[in-house]
Amino acid sequence: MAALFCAVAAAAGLAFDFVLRARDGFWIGAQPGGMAALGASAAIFAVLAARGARWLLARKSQPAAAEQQGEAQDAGAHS
Amino acid sequence: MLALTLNPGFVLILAALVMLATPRGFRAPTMAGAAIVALWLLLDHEFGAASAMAQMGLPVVLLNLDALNRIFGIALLIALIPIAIHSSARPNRYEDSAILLMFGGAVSALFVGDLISFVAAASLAGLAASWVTFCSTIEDAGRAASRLLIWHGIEGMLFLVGVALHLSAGAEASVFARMNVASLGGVFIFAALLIRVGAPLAHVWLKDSVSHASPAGGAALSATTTMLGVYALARLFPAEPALIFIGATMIVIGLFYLAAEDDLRRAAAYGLTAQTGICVALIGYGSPLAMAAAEGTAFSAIFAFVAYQATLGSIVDRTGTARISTFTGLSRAMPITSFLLLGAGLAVSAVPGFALYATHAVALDAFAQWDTIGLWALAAITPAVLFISLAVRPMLSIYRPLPRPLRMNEAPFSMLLGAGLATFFCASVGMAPRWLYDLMPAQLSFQAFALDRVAPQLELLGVAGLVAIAFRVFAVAPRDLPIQLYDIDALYRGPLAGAGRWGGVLLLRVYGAWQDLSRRIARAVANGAQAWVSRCDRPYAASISSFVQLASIGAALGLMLLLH
Repeated sequence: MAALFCAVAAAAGLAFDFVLRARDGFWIGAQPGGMAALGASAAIFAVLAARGARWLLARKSQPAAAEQQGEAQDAGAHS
Repeated sequence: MLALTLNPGFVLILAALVMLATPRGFRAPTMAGAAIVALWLLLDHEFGAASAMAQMGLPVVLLNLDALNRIFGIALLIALIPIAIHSSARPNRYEDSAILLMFGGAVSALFVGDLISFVAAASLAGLAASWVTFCSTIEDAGRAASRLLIWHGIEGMLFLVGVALHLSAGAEASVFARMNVASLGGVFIFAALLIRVGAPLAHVWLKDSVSHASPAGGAALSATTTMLGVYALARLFPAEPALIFIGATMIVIGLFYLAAEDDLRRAAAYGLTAQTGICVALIGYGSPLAMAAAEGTAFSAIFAFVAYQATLGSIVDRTGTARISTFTGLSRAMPITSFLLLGAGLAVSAVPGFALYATHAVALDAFAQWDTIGLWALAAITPAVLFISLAVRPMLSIYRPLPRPLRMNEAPFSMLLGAGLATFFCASVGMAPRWLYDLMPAQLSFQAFALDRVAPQLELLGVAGLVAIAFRVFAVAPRDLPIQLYDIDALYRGPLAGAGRWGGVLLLRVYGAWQDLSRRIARAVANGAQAWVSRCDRPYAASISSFVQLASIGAALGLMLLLH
């Protein structure tokens, strides 16, 4: 269903974009088809961000334990 | 006294006090009724200052209505109605009161016309936000509330210093109007407002408090906290160039964590940070169209994120968590909630037909200049990342079947009704955005549903969703795992807290050593003095020290006589 929704939106958007819009966007990203490129870039960014964040910033332990560990180091715990 | 009753926010503050003694069945109607009365007061009033009084030589303007604060006020007061319905599912009068107080403080801050009253009302809203988090029964909510209290304490201190320095320029300076960030008072107030909007380095309090708040509390915090800061920046620091870079950084940080977070409440809070960043950048850009877009985006984001957090609150109420990694098979157990989450996900993603699209299109037009290409691209890409992270990812997990269906009931009806009503507001404004454009301070003639605007947005979201699904199918995207991500707060909750702890221990030891040393010195001096005095009782004792003592006393007496 999600794929169908996205496919219909992409197809309709691309069709209307190329048929109706003039090639007078203020830069290449604002010209017909530019939004499709930006959408694909957004998906790539999301994957890279997810992988990068998990590689660099993820806590290794289970969430509950990690939360407790993090909170135990909280300055508020010693007040 | 009449002026007190005319500020719409005061109605909510009074209702918050009444709420403490209201039976459970009347609390949701009281909250919604207070919002409607406040809305009536707001819409019934003409633009301009209602009345002013003088306190200690400073003007106090408790109500000053104009187009800028009216649009924010309408958004907050309408958003309170679904939150009131949503909150009726659980019996916590203190949280209901805190939510009303938070809205009351925020709405009061919108409509006051002098700086001191604004700081007082904004601080009240901040304290109430901490109280909302304290009221949560989620694990470690108390510590999250304490951290939020510290952030608001820092913000309040900056406000006070800024106002004091600003007022030293004269009584006219207390008028709540444009400020200069280059002045000493202005820079302190600017810093306080950056904390309020969740600017980089101060962005962590939002996800921390929202993810630890109760189901209704998370939605309420999303509505009131950062958007009050957006309003104040639009009022005090429009067209301030630094805001462009601050807003752009907020968008990047928000999108980065949004794409990676497993906890959807945190992810939505980061999404709100990204949307707030767009508003901040628009205010920094400062053209009339950009200012209108900022106000409209704030208006729409309030509804969209209230809808999303309220729907997530329904899931949290049943499962205790909003982690995507635990969502598998949820559609069987909670079909209505799953459908509402899809609707709210589309609403926050600026899908055409929802309110955020109508204002996002204006924002893109405002940035469509050669010198703001970067901002245009960031603003354009934001709905796509929101769509992937808050709509596609949860849907792929929720509608994935489990061998054995989950055994749990659907969320309470009032929660579903509240979340559904918030989504309905998003759709109704999105379908007919003309009245929203008419509310904006700048007269805006904008065709949001022109095909050359709708088509690119559909294209963006459709392609982004397709590529994201393809990445998921081919295992390019990482699996949903129950992880937590470090953010800047890991620094002050980890190394900085450790350094502070060790510093404290070190200072305590130094203090103990100093006390010990001073005690020894005092004891030695006391012993010496005591021995010296005791020898005075034995002046004829045969010892050299007695002779020295007598000689020194005699010399002292002789010196006194000589001087006399």
